[in-house]
Amino acid sequence: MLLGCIFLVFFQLIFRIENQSDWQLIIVQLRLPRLIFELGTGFAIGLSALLLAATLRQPYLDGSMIGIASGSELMIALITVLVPSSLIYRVLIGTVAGILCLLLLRGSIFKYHNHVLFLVIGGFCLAMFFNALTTILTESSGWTGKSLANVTWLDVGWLVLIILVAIASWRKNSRYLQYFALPELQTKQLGIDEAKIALNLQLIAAGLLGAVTAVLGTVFFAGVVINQLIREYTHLGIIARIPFVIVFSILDVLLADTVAHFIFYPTELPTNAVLLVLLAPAFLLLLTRWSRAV
Amino acid sequence: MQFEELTMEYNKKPVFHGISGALQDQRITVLLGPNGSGKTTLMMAMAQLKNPSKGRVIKNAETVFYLSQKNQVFDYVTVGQLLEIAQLHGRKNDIVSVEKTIKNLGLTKLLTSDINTLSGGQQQRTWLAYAFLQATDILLLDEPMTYLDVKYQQVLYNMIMEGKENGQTFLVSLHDIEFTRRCSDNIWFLTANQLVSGTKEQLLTQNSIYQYLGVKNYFSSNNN
Ligand SMILES: Nc1ncnc2c1ncn2[C@@H]1O[C@H](COP(=O)(O)OP(=O)(O)OP(=O)(O)O)[C@@H](O)[C@H]1O
Ligand SMILES: [Mg+2]
Repeated sequence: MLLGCIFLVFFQLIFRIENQSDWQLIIVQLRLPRLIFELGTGFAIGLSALLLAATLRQPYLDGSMIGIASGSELMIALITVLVPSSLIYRVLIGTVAGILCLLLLRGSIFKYHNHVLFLVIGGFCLAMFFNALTTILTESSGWTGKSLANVTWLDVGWLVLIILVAIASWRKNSRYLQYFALPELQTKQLGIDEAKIALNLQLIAAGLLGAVTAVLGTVFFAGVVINQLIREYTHLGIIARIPFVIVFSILDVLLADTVAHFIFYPTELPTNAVLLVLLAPAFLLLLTRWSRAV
Repeated sequence: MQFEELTMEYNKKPVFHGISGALQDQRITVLLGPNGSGKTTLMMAMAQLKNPSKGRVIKNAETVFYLSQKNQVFDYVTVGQLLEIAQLHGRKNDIVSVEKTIKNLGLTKLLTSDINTLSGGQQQRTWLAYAFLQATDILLLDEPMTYLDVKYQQVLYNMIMEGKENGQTFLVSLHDIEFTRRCSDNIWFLTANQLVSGTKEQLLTQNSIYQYLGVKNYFSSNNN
């Protein structure tokens, strides 16, 4: 997986540079920021799915399914209509929207986290509601149509900053993550302040997902598929799985964006749609694994 | 450890109210009562995992661990990983007694297995090991016999007895009168507004089994 990532990074940087004179400009102004953003996006999608699934004790959930991604997208659509000039800060706005969405969820649907169906259906309703609003505002479906072609260095800067903040918070809370595999009753008896730690970890997840969604758009189910596929094939616990989930997620995003960028070059395909399509075989693989286990 | 005038409820619906009792140190007390009478709820209150709506639980410096009647893990966790957590937090850190617990409960070969793929009884044995490795002064075991085969019922019996000899206090909820007779020092019958306590000689009688558990001819039908 790692080799695949490295290969794609170089491929994206140097492939199809025809005009010798301005190759430096292309790399520095277009390809490099886009590439760094892809790495950050893979990181965010993978980690956020793993954190949300773990803290909610619901393996088959990620931030797209409960409305966090759509919330971020809706906020961007609102800003586009109301104050388009602030769109240069879209990554930061996405983070804030993701976090607001999380707080909304925690105040409502998460209270019933023991009722799986309620969580899934409630979350999905919220996601679809946001999506509908986005569609009305932008006169195009929020599902597709986003490309990473217009990533700026400012976007990259904010994303890197947000990731650094997330990592700082992660370092304080990470050692407790493994305990979310145990029932709440047991973590209480281990003296773990679960409410606080879950909040911190979910803030990381929502902030990261919100940030990248602002640019990429929503990618439904990607996080779940990535997280579960790695779990099925590695049989690793929550903590041990993290690097694999992140690297696999980065690989997926790199691959998706490479395809989006180059396959009909110079026409760009929407990266989030390509990612979804690319993950379809992975999803089928997962389905066969599950059906065999039944 | 004791509790006074304890009232527990879910969504304002009381399970029991005004119940008092004291757990005798270094003895085995068996908690009996029909399904839904509130045994689990009482144990959760004693372990301070659920707040009483009235009354209080009084505890000195003793450490308490409550093993739930239903246990589950939510991700890929091996038996070994779970027991490591117990070791880390428990006070029974010496490797000999840890290994003994694992061996007694027949978990040696299962250490690298995912808990979710184990049979019901194997899972229960894993959780029992988790509970015993906590090595708390007081162990509250909620229907610990569930899913256990005959052999491991006996193993559990031995472990409880050994724990008692080593100074541990047990409260065990059970639905098995025979097992109760074998292992209990004291009996608690839980009713909606009273905790009836006494020795097994006093309370394991046809009368009280009929009165508190609703079985008319428990002994005669058993002997037939
Ligand atoms: N989470 C809950 N929400 C609402 N009511 C509950 C909840 N848990 C238990 N109850 C109710 O409280 C009562 C006591 O339940 P509890 O689990 O303490 O009984 P129990 O004596 O342990 O039963 P069993 O022998 O079946 O384990 C029951 O009537 C049950 O319906
Ligand atoms: Mg019970």
